Amino acid sequence: MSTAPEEFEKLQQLLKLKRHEQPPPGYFNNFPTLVINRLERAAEQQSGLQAWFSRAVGILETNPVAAGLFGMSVCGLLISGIAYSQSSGSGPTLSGNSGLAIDVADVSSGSMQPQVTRAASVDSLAPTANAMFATNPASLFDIRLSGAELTSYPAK
Amino acid sequence: MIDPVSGKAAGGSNEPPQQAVPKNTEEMELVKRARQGDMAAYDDLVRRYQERIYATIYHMTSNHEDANDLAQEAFIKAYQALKSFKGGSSFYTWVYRIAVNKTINFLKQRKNRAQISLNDLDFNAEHDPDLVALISDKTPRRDINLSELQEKLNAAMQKLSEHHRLVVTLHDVQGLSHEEIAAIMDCNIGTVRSRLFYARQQLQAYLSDYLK
Repeated sequence: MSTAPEEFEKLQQLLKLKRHEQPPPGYFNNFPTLVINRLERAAEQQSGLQAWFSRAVGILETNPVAAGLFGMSVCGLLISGIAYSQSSGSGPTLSGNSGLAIDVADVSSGSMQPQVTRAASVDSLAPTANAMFATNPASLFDIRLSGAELTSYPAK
Repeated sequence: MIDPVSGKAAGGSNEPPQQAVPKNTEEMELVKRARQGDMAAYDDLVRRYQERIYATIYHMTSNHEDANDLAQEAFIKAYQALKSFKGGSSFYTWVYRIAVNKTINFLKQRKNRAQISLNDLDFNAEHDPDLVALISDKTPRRDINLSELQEKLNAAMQKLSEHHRLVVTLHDVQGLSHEEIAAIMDCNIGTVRSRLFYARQQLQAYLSDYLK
């Protein structure tokens, strides 16, 4: 591919016209003052967290490495969050519920028969599923614990 | 004479003069002071590069108001991101990159509603031998004046894609080298050359009536 000047000589002559396009007189005398004024105003407005955030965004926009690292860390957090939620989701099912933990222990010991017997019995499952209520249902609504007082309203 | 728009010598040869990229200790000292919050130092840096930055944006947008806003925003953004400037390139290249990215983003958003608001030609344009020759002797439309030619040229420039327009602006108008353009556009020199070739071909086709 050739980009020899003679090939586009006329065009380059014409493009020289653009070098003569000038902003209004005195424009460049005031320009730095405008920039500095805007910077000072922005510095006054921005404070604390806002300044930190805009600086972070500025760094991410101008530095591809920082942007890449930030993206990777977000992805890493997302993946670890998913992994954690999966592992913690199965955790309480196996060990958090005392009723089911007994069942699993029974399976691991090889004695399938008692577990099957319990599963077949609806009566035996009910307390397991509602273990918290079964132990002391009244305690959840214990007036003394909640600190509430009985109030009586006049009958209409 | 130094052309305040392009920031280089006006008139003379067809080959655009190469700009010296200032990367010296004085500049680094100014950057260091500006980073510490010294506004006077940053004012000095703005004064050094305002004309080139403005000219690049202006030639990209063909609109003085847009160029004014974008140039200010580029310098503000550069100041706010000054701590991330490691000095791997010159401050000049770094600011240029910020300005160019800002301008390209702006142009992509502005697409299809471009408004041309051109700056006036300076007095020297009428005495530029290349331009005088172009409008007097060989142009078929000899009655065309410089202002009309300026409008046609800018309209043709606006037909180019942002990246092609940028390469023509930086090389043929502002006189930057292929290497400098590659550093600013964050691409290799081959890409710069091919974009320049294609852009010139396109412009030549759009302006064929005025180049015969």
